[in-house]
Amino acid sequence: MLARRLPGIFPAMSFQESLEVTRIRSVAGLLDEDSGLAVARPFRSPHHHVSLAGLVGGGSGIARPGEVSLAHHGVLFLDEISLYRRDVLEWLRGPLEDGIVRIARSGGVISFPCRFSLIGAMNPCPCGFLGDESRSCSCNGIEITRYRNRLSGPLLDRFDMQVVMTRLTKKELMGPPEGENSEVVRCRVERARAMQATRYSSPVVTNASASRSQLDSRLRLEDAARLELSAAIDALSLSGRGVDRLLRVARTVADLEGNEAITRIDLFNALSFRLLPSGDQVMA
Amino acid sequence: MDPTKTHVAIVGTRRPTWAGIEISQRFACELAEAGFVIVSGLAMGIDASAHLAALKACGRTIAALGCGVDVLYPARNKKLRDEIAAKGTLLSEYPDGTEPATWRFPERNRIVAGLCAGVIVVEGGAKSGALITAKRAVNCNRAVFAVPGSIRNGMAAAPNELIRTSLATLVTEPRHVFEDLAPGVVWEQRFSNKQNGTQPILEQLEQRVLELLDDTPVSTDRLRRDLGERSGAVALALSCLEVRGLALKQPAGYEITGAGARVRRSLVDD
Repeated sequence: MLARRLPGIFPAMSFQESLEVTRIRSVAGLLDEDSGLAVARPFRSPHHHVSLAGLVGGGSGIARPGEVSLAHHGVLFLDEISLYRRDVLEWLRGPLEDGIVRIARSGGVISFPCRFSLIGAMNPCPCGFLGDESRSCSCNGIEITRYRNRLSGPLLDRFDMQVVMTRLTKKELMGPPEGENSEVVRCRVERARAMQATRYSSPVVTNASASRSQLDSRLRLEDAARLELSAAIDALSLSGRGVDRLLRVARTVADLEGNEAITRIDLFNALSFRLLPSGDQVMA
Repeated sequence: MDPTKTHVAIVGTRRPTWAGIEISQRFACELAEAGFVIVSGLAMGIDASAHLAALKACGRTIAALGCGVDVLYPARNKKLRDEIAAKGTLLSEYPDGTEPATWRFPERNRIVAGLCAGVIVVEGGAKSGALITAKRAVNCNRAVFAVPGSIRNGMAAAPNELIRTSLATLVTEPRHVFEDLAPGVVWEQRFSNKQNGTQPILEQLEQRVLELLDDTPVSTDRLRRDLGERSGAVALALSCLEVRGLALKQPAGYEITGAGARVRRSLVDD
């Protein structure tokens, strides 16, 4: 349910984006005669039995766009991500990086765009109760390691944020919804996007897609944040890639808060989204 | 008694908490630096971390195996096994090529107990093989030590039970073991790698979070409810503690580290 809400907090699609999304739908044969230009961002959640062709595109006869392209400018949600076939998941690495899929056929190469936000959900362990307060987990360490290792390190590396969700309490289930509605969040997101557009002098470059040099020259860290960053690199033995990701997330947190420079609070916030090391328990 | 001729075993669960790993590393490191030979069973978890810490401290270590010395088990510990083969001793009573079998591990524990002047049990569940090693050790007239843990930590069941039934001496510092096994020899402070003086400055919420952390992971939600704070504020405090090396993120939540426990003790003292 949380994932389904995500397209709702994205900024509205530009005319160009709407055109692209509509075009892909048309090629896939999903467009009815009376439906006009797509205005809502796509949300695709293929089942974990999805084939490689279903995800990537292809099929018999003329190659058709797959789920990754249907999610172009929107969200691709993989529920129970550890149940997907490993080769299918691994294949996502390329498109995530390039934003485009190429399908080679005897008649030539077809390419479809696929810039999407990937969301994956999985249990903390096979039985699902690791870290739960009301029931204890019945898995052993090797089972947990094996389960978490179904996502390879390189694939995990492409996720920017990880959030631990715990079971809702009775009060939360029965009471009125707490927190903001999507509309309020979307306004904040649009403001943050506007800040990024000014920063990179381009409406399409974001903190995530900016090049290293673009980011470095416009990052702006408060002194206190710089000190904490250097402590974090030591304490958490962050890699180069880890620092890069942390800074992009921190810059985005600061944008959402409306801060010109990244404060130490923004940095700590970004750190709390950091990924756990994959599989192998921190052993040795 | 010559500490360099004293063997001490560090045994425990294959599925330790982070606290258990830190404790076994600390005992292995400081006792190896004091000259003791560290003996264990090359299993995953407590065993592996004890061997590893002993090697890191340039100490001596013996791995007693439940299979032939040429059989790679557990496969995950290959690197460690090779390092012990090069710098320490791999020991087995079985001929080459003997495959591991569940019934051989209790047999192997008998060798571990027999080799040592004392056995330290760090963490283990209620039915842990560490209990077998400890009982074997008692029967062979060896000293048995146990590092206690919170009763809410299932992995502290074995050491707590040994203490409860008076089979083991309660130890919280490597020095306690040293003084028992090498009476008359002075424990040099240099062995213990102490905290380097500076006390991190913590804000009020960070201190309160630190007080609630445990050796087993505590979920952010649980902390948020116990503290009555917004989840954002709690996550912030946890990140700060993590950067200071006082807390550790785990799949199930956050755990306190050894450094965190030291800081917490000093906060209570104030």
